[in-house]
Amino acid sequence: MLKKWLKNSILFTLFIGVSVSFSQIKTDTLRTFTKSEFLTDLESFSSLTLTDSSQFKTLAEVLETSSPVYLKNYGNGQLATLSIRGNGASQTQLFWNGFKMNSPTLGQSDLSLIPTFFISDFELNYSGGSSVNGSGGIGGSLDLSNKLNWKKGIDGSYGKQLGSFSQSTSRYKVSFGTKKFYQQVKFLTKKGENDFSFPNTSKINNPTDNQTNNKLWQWGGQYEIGYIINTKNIIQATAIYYDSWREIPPINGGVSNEETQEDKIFRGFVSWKSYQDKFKSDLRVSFFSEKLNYIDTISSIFSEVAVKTYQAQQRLKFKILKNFDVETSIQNSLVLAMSSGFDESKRRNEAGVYVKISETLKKGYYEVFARQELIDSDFSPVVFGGGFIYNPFNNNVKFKGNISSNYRVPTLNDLYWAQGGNSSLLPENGWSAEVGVDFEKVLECYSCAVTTNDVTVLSGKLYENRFNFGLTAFYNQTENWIQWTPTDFGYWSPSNVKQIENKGIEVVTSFYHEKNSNKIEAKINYSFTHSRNKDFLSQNNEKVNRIPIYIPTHKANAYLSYSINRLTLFYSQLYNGRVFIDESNSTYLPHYFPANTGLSYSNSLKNIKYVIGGRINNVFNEPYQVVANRPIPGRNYSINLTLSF
Amino acid sequence: MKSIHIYIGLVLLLFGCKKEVGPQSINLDEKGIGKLIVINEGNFGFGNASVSLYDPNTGEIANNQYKKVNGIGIGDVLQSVKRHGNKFYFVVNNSGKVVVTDTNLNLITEITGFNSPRYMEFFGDKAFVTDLKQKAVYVVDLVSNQIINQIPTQGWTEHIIMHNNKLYVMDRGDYLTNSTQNFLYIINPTTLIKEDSIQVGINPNSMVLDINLKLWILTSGYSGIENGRFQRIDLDSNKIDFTYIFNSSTDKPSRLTYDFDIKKFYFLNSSIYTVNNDVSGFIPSVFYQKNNENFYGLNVIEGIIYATNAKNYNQIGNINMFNSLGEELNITTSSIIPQSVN
Repeated sequence: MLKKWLKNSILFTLFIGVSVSFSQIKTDTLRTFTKSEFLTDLESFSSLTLTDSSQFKTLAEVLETSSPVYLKNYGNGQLATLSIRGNGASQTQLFWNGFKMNSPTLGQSDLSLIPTFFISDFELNYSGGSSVNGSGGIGGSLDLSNKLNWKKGIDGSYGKQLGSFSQSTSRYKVSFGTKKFYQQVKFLTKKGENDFSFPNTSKINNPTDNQTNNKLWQWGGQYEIGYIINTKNIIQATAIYYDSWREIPPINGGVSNEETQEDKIFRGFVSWKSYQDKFKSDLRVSFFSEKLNYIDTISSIFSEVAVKTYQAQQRLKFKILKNFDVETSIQNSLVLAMSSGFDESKRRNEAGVYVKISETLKKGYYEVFARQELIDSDFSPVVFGGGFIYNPFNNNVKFKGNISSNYRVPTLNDLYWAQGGNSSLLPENGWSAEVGVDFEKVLECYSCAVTTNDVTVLSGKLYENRFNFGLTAFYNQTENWIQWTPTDFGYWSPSNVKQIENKGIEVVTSFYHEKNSNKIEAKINYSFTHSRNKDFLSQNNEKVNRIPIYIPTHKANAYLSYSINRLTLFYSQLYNGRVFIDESNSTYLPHYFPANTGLSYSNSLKNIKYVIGGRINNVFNEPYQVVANRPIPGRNYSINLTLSF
Repeated sequence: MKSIHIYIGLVLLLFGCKKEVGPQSINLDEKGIGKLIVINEGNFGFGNASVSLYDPNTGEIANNQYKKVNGIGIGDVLQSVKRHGNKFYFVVNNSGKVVVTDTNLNLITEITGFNSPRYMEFFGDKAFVTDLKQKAVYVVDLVSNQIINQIPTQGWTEHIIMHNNKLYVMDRGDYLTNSTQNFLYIINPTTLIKEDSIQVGINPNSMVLDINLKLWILTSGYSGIENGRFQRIDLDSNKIDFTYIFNSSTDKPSRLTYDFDIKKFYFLNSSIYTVNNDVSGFIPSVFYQKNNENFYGLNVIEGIIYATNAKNYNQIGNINMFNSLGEELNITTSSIIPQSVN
């Protein structure tokens, strides 16, 4: 019995291990090189930020406070998009369990429609070309995934957060696991009036006004199931439905058009992983259905978009020779889209093949890869690249490098929007590279020999000190950048007009100290982005060598937490430099420097564990805007409670 | 502990220095002088509309003058400006307001409550404001600076001219579609009654009174249905007495303006065109062949033709100036999307 149990435990570990390497499609060593150091220990990171429901953080907030990426946020619960290394939201590809999830019509993903509660892991990947999942992430990609924890027995939790401006979030989770089965159901509701006050900079003396038409109501459910067929085969399925209704507030100083946006999103996937002696295989199929209704009652605009996406992919990983790993992936995606902006429904098929060969050496690792896609009947340019990790001395210092070409196909709106869609658009294409060094120093003491009064005993964990430092320099350039520009005929049309060049550095540092029941964690990240418009084929030269709009040159964040026993205090600070809001760089939004702080206490009462917490957002009550004329709330508060059994 | 003090000091310093919130301009020019007012629309939703002053004698322009004088931006999408007495009335489209200033641009008051206002005319102590979405002409009392009434219309009301104690208002139909029902209304500004309506071509976009006090309307047409056209209206009979139809459906003429002294029309049709105010041999010709400009606005003031170049609408635009021979006199930069020179 024990033997069988042990065997199963090992099997679980193996499967989870496989699922890690497959869902990220990077070996453990590679995983450390394409992503920034803050994510190096993905499991501990995600357990801190994503599975710890006590903080009720949004995905945008987690990314903003812990990585060098730039978040463009239109306000509480409103559109939030991600920009990586000087590229725009459309050049950032999001994947859900390996499947492209950017809207095929708009080309972007709204992070406000992705609750962290429905994700177990995420990974930022700065090298879009190298993604096994697919193309499109010229700036980089964000991979979101759902992993099962295979915990046996019945578990449940309930969480509630109440905040300023009548904000309320409720979370319910129940999981049930046996030897072979695991099931988990989650349910979430979120609402808010979001009628915060702000200094109205459109009026003389900036009087305080209240935000209007800014209500939000969202709910969603997720069902996950896993089944272990035998010691070599495992099946997992996840389905999410999310329903969001938002009012869209007027701009500061504008007239409210009583706009609303409704999104109804279904995503589901099934994966069959097979773990054979000679190879590992992962077959996945998915179906997405996304509906968007935008209503502007004052202007009588009723816009409707409905997209269905069917995707399938087969990944294989096997060894050739002793140290060579080969990974392959073939995938197909069929998009069917209806939009009030199209003359008729549109269809796009994308097929892709990906191959990567890697070798693990004594003092390092390298890889080369290539990808070819077929969009309907047109072959896309072959994407290829490679990377390395080199540990010349020991594992404390790692040198890394990475170079790849990449491209992004035009969105369906770019191609088919009536009027203005340009069906002869070329894909954006370019290349990116990075080099860097990572340093890690760990001083710890597990089971140390401690001598007291001449008696030597083995202690438990006495202390741990961990210091990480990473420095990365990056370069990327994109040609045929797609931009909508006015035509002589009174409407706008997209064309391949720009060339963008970005170079910069990123510094990530973290420090962790643990002794007795004291824990200190500190992180500081900084990024410098030198982003420039290099060429422009029409209109004029005014913007050449100017900074593209909404790209900060400087961005920094710091996070500090201190725990003693059951009490944790945290403080996070963001600095976002000035961004220009026109291409000749004559108008800008000033920098902002907001901070959040919070406190939580965890304990248990009989069999029920509880976490109770509170937080203050925008502690210094700083008035600022991330997007022009979209005010962000001043100081605001929330309290939360999570019960689990 | 010391480092905490330093940190707090740093935070206070950052906040102490910081006064800016929302869109700002890099170069706030010194207070300028200039007898011409350039209005810059700014980007929709960005709230970066601005007012420049241009001095045709020195060729100097001073930008961001409303902000310089009043400390705040003028609003979102500055559509038009009109002088009445010793006041300027700025119609700020997406802010739904009319900003009233003195002739030095000092803010006096704002008239609010409009839906999507476009142009303005005056009669006695009343003002009339057209609107993109409201399907009405607003009536404003200039004493209380309040909207006091609305004259219902079919759809989008655009240009408005006060002449001989009558209001001439262009109605472009449903603003979301290319309406085939477009009218010129003749409204009594005292009784607010529509006395007549004349059906005109599709997408009328501008109109001027000529030296003979005939009203000329320019329409841009709609591809596949109707080509753009000039239409002349005899204001005694309220009938169209002359029509010129453009040859091609790709002609999208707009921004009709008129030089009284030499009796010439100018308008935009991608490049700048001109035509004599003479119905015999009425053949428009190219006045200035554009290179890569994106001409957006066109005005004639004291014989000088001012054409605004909005470029790609997301950067500082230019104003190109020509004499009546088509010779370029000067080019100056202004701000985002220069709308018109007044």
